[in-house]
Amino acid sequence: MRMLGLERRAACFVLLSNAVTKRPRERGRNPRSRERLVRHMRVRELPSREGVSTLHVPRGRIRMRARRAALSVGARARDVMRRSFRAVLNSAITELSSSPAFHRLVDEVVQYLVHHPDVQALIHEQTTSFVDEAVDDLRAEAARADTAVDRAMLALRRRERKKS
Amino acid sequence: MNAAGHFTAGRTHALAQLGSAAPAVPGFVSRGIALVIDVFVMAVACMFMTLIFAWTGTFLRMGTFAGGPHLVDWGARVAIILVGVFYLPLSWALTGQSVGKAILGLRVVRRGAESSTERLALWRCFVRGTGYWLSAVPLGFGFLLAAFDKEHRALHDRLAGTRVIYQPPKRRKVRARV
Repeated sequence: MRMLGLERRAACFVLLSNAVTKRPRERGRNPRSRERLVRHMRVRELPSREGVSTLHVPRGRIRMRARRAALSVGARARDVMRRSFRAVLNSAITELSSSPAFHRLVDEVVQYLVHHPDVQALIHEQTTSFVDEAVDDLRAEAARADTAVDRAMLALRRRERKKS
Repeated sequence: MNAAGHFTAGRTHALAQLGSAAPAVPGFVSRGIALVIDVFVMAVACMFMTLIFAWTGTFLRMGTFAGGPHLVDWGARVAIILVGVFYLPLSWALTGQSVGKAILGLRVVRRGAESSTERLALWRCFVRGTGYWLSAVPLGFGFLLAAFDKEHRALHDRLAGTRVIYQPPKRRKVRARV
């Protein structure tokens, strides 16, 4: 049966970890696992002696794999935290939105804000300030245009006087 | 009668530079814009009156009896005429301003008025309103007169003995905060 790449690698990782953790005599005894280790993990085969391990396992590679695994464990932990927090938050929101006491509280707060004179003044100021600004601009522009027309008329009158 | 508000300060200054010591009065452009706004308001009012008459006619099923549609038609026409005749004079008589003049910050007063808040007599308002039509008839020349006149008085102002001034700024009430 042909194994998939990922599975093969996982199997080799297990074999390697066994090779490191097991006692030297037990390393690489199984010929099949030994073959896999040599082929896929580039484990160097040493000249065999009876009763002694025949495989040289690079420890740095194991360390790197362990680090990667630790990183993925951290990411998984964060993901789990995020999911659980989201679930708690959703349940709290659902609970609050369905609770009549919360609705009453929101109504009270809104009523308090609506009837507060400062809030009323603020809303009034905000709605009127935009209109006031536009009207002021229109008036100022019209007054400027009036002055321009007056100036032109005055110049016309002076010219007429000079002619006469 | 100090009519110079904050938006007229620049105009007062410019007129003083031109050699005019009199308080600034609104010119041809301001009054023209106010007139355009008033015409727009009157058009909207006429449109609403026509619609109201049409809806009333439909609701009362006036199309089902003889003369009903004509009645609705005449009613709408009368309403339009009433808007045209009464809108401007009544607004001048009640507040001294029409909608357009209020937006532009202008006010109609009697020529020799001592106070800017003095109300205009109703007859004067109607004469001024009639003068509007007379000003409009010769290709708007009556309105154009405001550009040439020193006091910026148009034909209808001369007929009714009125002038247009800038609305003095209102004193704002200061709210006491506790």
